[in-house]
Amino acid sequence: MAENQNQALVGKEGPPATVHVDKSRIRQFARSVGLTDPAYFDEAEAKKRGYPSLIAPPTLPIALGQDQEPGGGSMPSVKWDVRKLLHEGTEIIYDRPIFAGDVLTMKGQLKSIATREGKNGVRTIFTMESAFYDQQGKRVCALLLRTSEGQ
Amino acid sequence: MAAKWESINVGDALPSYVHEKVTRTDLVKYAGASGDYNPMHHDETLAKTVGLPSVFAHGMFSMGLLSNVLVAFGGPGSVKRFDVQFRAMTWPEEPVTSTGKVTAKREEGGQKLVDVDLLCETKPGTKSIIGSATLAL
Repeated sequence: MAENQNQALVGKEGPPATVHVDKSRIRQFARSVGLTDPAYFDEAEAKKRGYPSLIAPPTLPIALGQDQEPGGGSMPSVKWDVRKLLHEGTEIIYDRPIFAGDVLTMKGQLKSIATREGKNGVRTIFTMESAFYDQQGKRVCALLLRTSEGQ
Repeated sequence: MAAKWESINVGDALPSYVHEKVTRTDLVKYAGASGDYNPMHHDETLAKTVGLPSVFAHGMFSMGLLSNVLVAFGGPGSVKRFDVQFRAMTWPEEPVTSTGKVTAKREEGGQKLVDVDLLCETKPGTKSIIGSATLAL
């Protein structure tokens, strides 16, 4: 099979972005997915549990790209046909929880290109990674989005 | 209260989480919270022009509903890994039932870990998500 036209983008990181994890975003996001634990809403309660502030809901990393400072963070522009795309899956890996007040460096890359047999022919699977690092450069979290393009 | 690692057994069910009915308002709220403004999730007129019966839910909205199962079982800070595959679209008016089951217990690097399998179903028998996760308790 011919090499995918985006192969040269694999492993290349976009410019890093600075992301501020905000209490309002945590509350808004938690509410939007039905989470009710006070650790997402009440800072005093979060601190009672030993957290520095509100804790991020498990899937918050998907939303953090919108809270970046201008000037960075773009994923490499993958060429694909948006009419043939499917969101196949998502994986989130935590090295430690994320908290309000965290200032994180986000780095995006096209991690890999693979193929699989689908019901209607071969699909190309693009795995995009956003990795989040603390101010000491230690990874906090990685978000992997798998998107496929049909023929 | 989060479950205690010592008293968990392989095969235990996680607390299930039922979202009674997906509404278009849910999808607008999720779009605003997540920053995902793909119009297929809120613009019914546009969705119909491409042959869809209506708007449909963000896959990540369902993953967010499913996260309630992990938080209820392990607590908000327990999630180490959370991996899902989207298997079917979720439409307005459908319920989403999220469930999970313990598949393994192990200790690694001084952490007490639990592996779980996860599922979201819309209509009975329709799996919209299959997934797995690792929690540290």
